[in-house]
Formats: sequence, C-alpha cells, structure tokens
Amino acid sequence: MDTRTKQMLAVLLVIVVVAGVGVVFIMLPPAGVPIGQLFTPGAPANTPAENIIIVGILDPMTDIQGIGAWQGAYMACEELNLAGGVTVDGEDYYFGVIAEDTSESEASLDLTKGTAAATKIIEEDGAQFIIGGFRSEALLAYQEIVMDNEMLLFGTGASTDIFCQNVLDNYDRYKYFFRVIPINSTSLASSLLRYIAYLDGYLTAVTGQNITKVAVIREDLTWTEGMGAFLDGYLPLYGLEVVEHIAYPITADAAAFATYWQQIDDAGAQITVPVISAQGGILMTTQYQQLQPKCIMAGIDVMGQLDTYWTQTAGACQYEVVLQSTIRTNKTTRTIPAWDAFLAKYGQEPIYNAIGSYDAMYILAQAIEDGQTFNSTELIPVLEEIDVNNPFEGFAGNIAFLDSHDVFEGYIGDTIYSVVLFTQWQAGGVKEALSSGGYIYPDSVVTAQLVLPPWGINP
Amino acid sequence: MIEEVIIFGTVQGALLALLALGFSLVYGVGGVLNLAHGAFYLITAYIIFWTIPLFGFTVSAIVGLIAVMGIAAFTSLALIKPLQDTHIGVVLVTFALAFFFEQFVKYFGDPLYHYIAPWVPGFITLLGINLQAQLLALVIGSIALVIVVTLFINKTKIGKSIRAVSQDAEAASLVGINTDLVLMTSLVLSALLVGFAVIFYAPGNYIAPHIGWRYLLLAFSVTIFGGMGSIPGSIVGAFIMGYATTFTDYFPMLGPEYSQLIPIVVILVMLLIRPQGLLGKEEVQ
Amino acid sequence: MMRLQLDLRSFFERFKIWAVSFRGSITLIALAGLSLFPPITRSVYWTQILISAMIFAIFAASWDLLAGYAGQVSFGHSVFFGAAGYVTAALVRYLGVNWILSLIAGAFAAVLFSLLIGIPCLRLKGPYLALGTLAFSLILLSLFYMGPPWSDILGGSEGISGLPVPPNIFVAFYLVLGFMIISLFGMHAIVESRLGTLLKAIRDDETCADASGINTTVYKLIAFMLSGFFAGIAGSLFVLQQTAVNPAYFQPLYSFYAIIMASIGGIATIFGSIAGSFIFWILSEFLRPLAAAALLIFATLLILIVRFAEEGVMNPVMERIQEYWDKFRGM
Repeated sequence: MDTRTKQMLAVLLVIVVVAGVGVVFIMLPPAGVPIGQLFTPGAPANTPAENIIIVGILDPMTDIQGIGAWQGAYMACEELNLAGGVTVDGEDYYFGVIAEDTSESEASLDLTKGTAAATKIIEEDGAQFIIGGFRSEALLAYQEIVMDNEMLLFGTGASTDIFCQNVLDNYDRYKYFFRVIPINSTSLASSLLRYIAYLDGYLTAVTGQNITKVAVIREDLTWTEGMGAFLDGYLPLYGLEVVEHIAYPITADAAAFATYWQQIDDAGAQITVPVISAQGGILMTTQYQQLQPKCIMAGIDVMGQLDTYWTQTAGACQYEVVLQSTIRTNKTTRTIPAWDAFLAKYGQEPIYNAIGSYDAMYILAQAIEDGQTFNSTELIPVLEEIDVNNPFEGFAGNIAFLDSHDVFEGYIGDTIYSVVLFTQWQAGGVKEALSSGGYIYPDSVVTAQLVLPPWGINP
Repeated sequence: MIEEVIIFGTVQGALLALLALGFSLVYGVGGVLNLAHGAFYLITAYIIFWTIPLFGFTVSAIVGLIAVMGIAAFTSLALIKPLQDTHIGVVLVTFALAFFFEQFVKYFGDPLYHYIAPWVPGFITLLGINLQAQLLALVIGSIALVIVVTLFINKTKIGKSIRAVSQDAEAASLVGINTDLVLMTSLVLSALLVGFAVIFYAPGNYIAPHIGWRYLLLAFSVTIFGGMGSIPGSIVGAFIMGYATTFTDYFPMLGPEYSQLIPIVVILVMLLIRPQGLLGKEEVQ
Repeated sequence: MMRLQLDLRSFFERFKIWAVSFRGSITLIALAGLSLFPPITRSVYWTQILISAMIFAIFAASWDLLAGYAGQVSFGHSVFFGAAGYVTAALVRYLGVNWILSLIAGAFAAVLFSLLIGIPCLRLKGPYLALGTLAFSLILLSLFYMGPPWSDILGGSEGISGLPVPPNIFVAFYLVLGFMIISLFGMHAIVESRLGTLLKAIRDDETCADASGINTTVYKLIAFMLSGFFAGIAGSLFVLQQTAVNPAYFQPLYSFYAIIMASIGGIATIFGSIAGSFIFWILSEFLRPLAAAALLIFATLLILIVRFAEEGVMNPVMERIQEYWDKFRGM
C-alpha cells in the first residue's frame, strides 16, 4: 500500500467512525436533563412570559443528584401550576423550571463549570430563584454569584455546616441561603449514635445476648473523620465498646473488604456501623453476604439509599440497615401521596435531592403567596416565619427553619420535622422503616420489624 | 499482619504485573506513553458487563478481549503512529481517547457504580485468611500470562523484533524490521494483558466510568519504579509495589490515611535517586 | 541593568515593526475586537467565560514557555496554579490584603514552588520529568485534602471561600485583559530574547548546549521560575474570579487543561495559547445545552483536533489567511 491509499483509508475510517458515532447520537434520546430550556408544565398555554416565575435548578445534571433535583422540582412545578399557580396582587402567576449543569459530581472537579452555570442561569436564563447545590466545594464558589444577585438559594444537597454558619456570621450577605434538605452533619452523627444506642437495647432484648461490641468501618475522607471520632467518644457512654475501627482508603478493593470483615468478625463485633458515601458500600455488602460475619450492619451507606442498590449488589444488601431521609411512610400526610406520584411519573424512587427540591418549590410558592412579592430580600422574613411553631408540611417532613436557616431536626408530639429514618433492606428488595424506639422519630412511621441475618449474631 | 501482607501483596502484585507489563512494553518499543491504557481496562470491563446478560460470562469475556484488541489496533494505526514524532501529540491524543471512553460509558451506560459477580465462586482459606477464590485465579492467571508473554518475546520472530526495536529502533528498521507493525503488535499485546486483568480482577469488584485513571496511574507508577521499557523491571516492580502498598495499608503507625500518599512519595523518591528505575536502561530519555 | 534597558528598547522597536506587519495587525485587530466585546454584547455570562478564557490563556502560555521552549514537559503545572491560589485567597480573606498585592504574593509563592519542583527534577527528562511533576501535584492534592491536624492549617476539602466578588464584571474583564496582554507579550519577549535562544538550544540538544558552555542547570531553573511566575498570576486571577480555593486546584485536570489549550493553539508559539484557550472555552460553553452528550462530543473533537492539527490551529490558519492577504495586496 502506498502512502496515498493509506491516507485515504485513514480518512475513510475516520469518516466511518464519526458518522457511526453521529448516527448513534441522533438515534438515542439525550439521557438526563434538558439544559437551558424553560419548562412550564401545567401552566395554561397562553400564559404571558412575564407571568412565569422562573426557578433555576443548579446541580450536576448528568448524575443522579441533578436528575433527582430536576425531577422533584419539575413535578412540584406541574402540580403547583395545575392547582392555579400563585396569585399576587390579584393576578395569576405560574412557575417555570430551567436547569443548568454544574458538573460538580465529576471525580475531577472543575469549579468553572459551576460558576459559569450559575452566571448563565441568572443572566441568560432569567432565573429569579435558585434550587440545588450538591458538593460543598463547588457550591461554596458558585453560591457567591447567587448571593451577589441577592437571590434566594434553597440548598437541597450539601450537608456541610459552613453554609448555615455563614448565615449566622455574615447575615446581610448570606441570608438568601436556606437549607431544605439534608439535616446537617452534626445532627446526622447524633441521629446515628442515638439509633445504635437503641439498637443495642433492642438486640439485647430480642436475642437474649449481651450486646456490647461495636465495629466502625468508614471510608477515609474528611467528612467521616469527625463522625468516627464522635462514635468512638460517645458509644462507650452508652455501655458499648468499639472493638474495631477501620478507616479504609477510598480505593480499597474487594480483597481488602474481605479482610476488614475478617478483622471485624474476629473482634467479635455484634453491630457494625458503616460510614460510607462511595462505592466501598457495594464491596462491603457483597463481601458481607459472602463471608456472613455474625453481626448486623447499621449506619450510613449513601449508595444504599438508591432503589437500584438491590440490583447493583445482586441482593447482597439484604439485612443492611441504612440511614435515609425518606421512604414511603407517613412522615407527614403528604409523604405517601407524593412518593406514589413520583414513582408513577418517573418509574423510580425519589432520592433526597428530589424530595428536597420538590419541597423547596412548594415553600417558595407559599412564601410568594404569603408575602405577595417576588423580591427575594422581601421574601426572607416570610420564610423565616416558617419555624418550629409554624412549620411547612412537606414531602420530607415538617420543615422549620432555624436562625441559621438550617432545618430543625427532631419531633415534637405527632409533628415530625426533618428527621432521618433507619430503614432495612428486606427480602425481595423492599426497604422498610424500622423502629427507633422513639429516640429519633415516633413509631408511627414504622413499616416493619428488624429482621436479623439467619447466620446469627456473635456471642 | 505479615500473612495479610504476603497474601494481599501477591494479589496486588499479580494485578499490577498484568497492568504494567504491556504499558512498559509499548513505551520501550515506540517511546509511546499510552495514557489510554487505563481506558482499555474501562472499556473491556463495560463491554463484558453489558454483554453478560446476553451471552454469559465466557462469551462476554472473549468478546471483550477481541474488542479491546481491535480498539488497540485502531488506536495504534489511526492515532498513535501518525503522531509518533511529536511525543506530546501521542500523550494528548491518548489522553483524549481515555477521556472519550470515560464519557462514552457514562453516556451510553449510566454514572452509577456496578458490580460484576465473580466467576470463581466462594472463598478459600490461606494462612488463616479468607480470600475470594477469584483472587487466587488472578494470581495463577497472571503468572501464567507473564510466562507466556516472556516466551513470546524471547522465542517468536515478532517477539524478537519487539526486543530489537526496543533496544535500538533505528538499527532495527535498517535491518528491515517493520517498526510500525512492531508497535501495533505490542499495543495489541498490552491491550490483551489489560483485558485479562479485567477478566480476572473486575468480577467481584465494582466498575464505574472513572476507574480507568486509577489503573493508568497504577501501571504508570509501577513502570517508573521498575524502569521504563524494561520487562523484568515491570514484573519485579509490580510485586515490590504490591507488597509495599499492602504494607502501608496494614502498618499500624501509618494507617490507610497515608496509604494513598506513600506510593506517590516512594515513586518521587525513586525518581530522584534512580531515575531510570530498578532495572531500567542507563540512558534516560 | 544595562542589558535590560537595551533589551527593552529593542523590544519597543521590534514592536513598531511588528505592529504594521501582517501578524501584528491581525493581533491588534483581534485585541480591539476582544476589548469591544463587553460593551457591544453587554452579556455578563459571556464576559465571565471570556475572563476564564483569558486567565487560562496565561496559564497555557506559561506551560508553553516551559515545555515548548525549554523542553521541560510538566504534567504538574497545577501546583503553581494552586500554590498561588491558596496564598492569594489566604491573604485576601484572612489578612484583608489588597487584591493586587495578594496577586503578586501569589505569583511569587508559585515561583518558590517552581524552585521546589525544579531543583529535584533537574535530572529528569521526558516521561520521567512529566511523572515527577505529576507526582508533586498529586502529593499536594492529597495533603490539602487531609483531615485534622492538616486541615486546621490547610483548610481541608472546603478550602478558603467567601472572597469578595469583583464589584464590576466589566472592570474585571479589562483588568484581566490587561494582565493577559502584559503576560503574553512578556513571555513572547522572553522567548525572543537571548534567553529564549538559550532555552531552545537546551531543548534541542542538551548535551551540545552543555558542551558549548551554557550552564544548563541555571537556565532550566530560570525557565521553571518564569513559567511558575506566570502560572501563579493565572492562579491568583482565577481564585479572585472564582472567589474560592480548594484542593481541586491541584488536580491533574488543570495541568491537562494547560497542555490541551497550548497544543490546540500550537506548541512553542506562546500566542497560540490564546487561540487554544478561547477555542476550548467557547466550544465547551456552546456544547453546554447538549448536557450528557457535551463531554462526549468534546472528547471526539479533541481527538480529531489533536490528530489532524499537529502544529496546532493557529499557525496553519494564520498562514492561510496571510496567503489571501498577500494575494489581496498584490492585486
């Protein structure tokens, strides 16, 4: 073959590849969320543009968090509009949602994607209010743009305390931030501790054994360090002994998890508390099922919150108890209907970003209706009235804002505020809410009893 | 602790040997720094994962191997060879290719993590340690493959050409060796080794769109450690690195907190003291 | 001092000749067009994108200075970016230092880091140097991500945030434009000077350069320091634009951004980095509405550009335009 033929062949090859890729692009509908397009589901077709309230959703739109936030906000938008929108000064206004991709869940975080998305959604897309935020580092950069524009920002993803601390420290600048979900890291740790304390008593009663030995297994990231130290410090106060504490590198593989379980089982642990957000959870559960260490897993395994976790682990997550913001149970009267509506609309269960964004839309609508204004600064006092005495009954619970614009955690009487549930993966891939003995939430939300693994608990 | 280090260090070393051998070979032959090396792992793993429901594991594994060899041949002919004179061009185009595969599996699959069930079920107990039987298969398979590849390079005609080009490309082309063919062969060989690494190691582990970079970094660091282009160097380097990383994982003073940092520091120190690596050629270029 | 003045004067003379030449006029027209962009479009969003593009043009050019001219291919350029970013952010946020002083301090911090990396890596060449520098950036990345006690000093994964936002984006635009012009022309002057010739000699044949009496060690270090300085300016500007700094600044991602942009524009051209950076940023923003497919298409285009434009896009395109220009003038 002479060079000329080779060149032509090469060019031909490239054309074929490009054409092939192109055809596939056209054939497949784009996955994920439409970017930069305004949707006004449920609004009357002839609504003039100035009567549309534009809510911008900022999140990693190619990942589950962003897709969830978009779905939740979209569904709330449709419901609100079908119910007639909001009325301000006697005129009807409807909601519109628009999304921009911040790419903040990429393993390599490019900050500019978030700041560019925030600028675009405000300057080009005309968003008047913002919902979203997932990764603290990214949100810390782009929230400044939202604050600069004096625009309400409903946090529906990041749990770091710093955002609400900012509200306290520099109220004038950061007062536009309100966290809707999740509860902050401190409350999270305390919920976990209270549950383990309860579980101790429950297991002692059920098994007739003396349950005292706990193992902690956490991925070695900044956010788990505080929680690990907290558990080490407080579990002994409840008469529990931490017999094994494993902080594994985030890159640990299956072989490593086999050894971790070995160490945990050798130490005679009866309860194992995972504190895991990443893929380690999958390996932990699959190895748990194969090795069958005599203990029960109860803790934080973020991936275990997804409804796909059962298939992702091929059912190995059975008996695992995971902390989760909401499942299909009556936290409020709205939880079950909203859950069913979401499941019917999207064919999958809502993740916490979806639930939070859904609530954020309703909270915004209520505030606009009550305050009779679209000005974010004027809406703040209205939102601040949503407190413990006057909560907003939402999907995730009764939402009440504190002085720091964080959500109030706990329950008073029958009123369940923003609490986390402890849920167990049970046979057939269903997830059930377990009792917390009233330590965290009342038993009214409980859907099933704890099931122990048939291979028993260490003596 | 010593038992854990021996067993899991061997497992780690077996994996690293499969990853690093081909990477080092390709660098030796063409001075090609193939940043898509980890992406070969990624795409093989996803092809297998996607086709298992259709064909079952065995057929999927064969499909995966053939596909990755085809991709490697295409990469060599269409992307690497034309840019071989500008080394930065090769680095960039393979980087872009790796990025492409990451986005490809994310777009046509999903961004979630997935689990492939091990094809060797169950556990075995060695020195009192429970070990996935799958990992024993990895060790045996890796050793067998390393022997086969060493024989291939030392005994066959094309293998000898690879060695010749590796030692002196100019002289080799003067005596009539087709250096392009040699480059392609070594790239396909490296893809084949990576493919086998997937077959032995991916089942029982998770896969996700970004995993390629991790395996690239592993191959890269072992190769630097053992010596760029040196085949015995990368095998010895793989096992030393395997024991070293496992040791830092288990060593109580250091703890896993530092285990990600230690290998990088070790590589850096190695670079500064002995840039050509353990068994590398004296001439550093 | 004397020589510096001479260099400066010859530089201005050359500038005059250059300004009326084909390339000079094209550059000046492009700069004029760029500076008219904000008042004409009044788009905050696109102004923001162009600011990013200009900052990364400086960053990519600083990589080009080191890799394209001195032949020291670095995969860890993000070290300078991050070091300068952290110093600037800490000074502005905690000590309330004026931004321009913080920026200069950031740039000098980057110079310090360039020595820290440059001296141990002097012996390394080719992929070894690339990996050595990459290892440095990965070590810093892990260090800054570490929990207590490290995070008490270094800020942990959240880094330093809440820097004052530039009061007016359009003013910021012209400031960054000024920085870009000064930095790029500065770097261009360096590579055109005697120093540049020496660096190219080292790049092309180090043994030979050494034999002809050039102190290669010193000149390689000078190249590292100069490159670090300009990369530091870019890092400081970037942190002032983003108003936050975190360990992600040390990611290999940003090093690769620099390499990609410099290569798209054309290696060893300095000004090519502007073309590369602008193409990169504008393209990625145009692809934004495609969401999930955007990065896939971007990767495909990147492969094609790198594969078919070995010299980068700037020089071939300029040559083509010049052909037409000459034809037009000859008519």
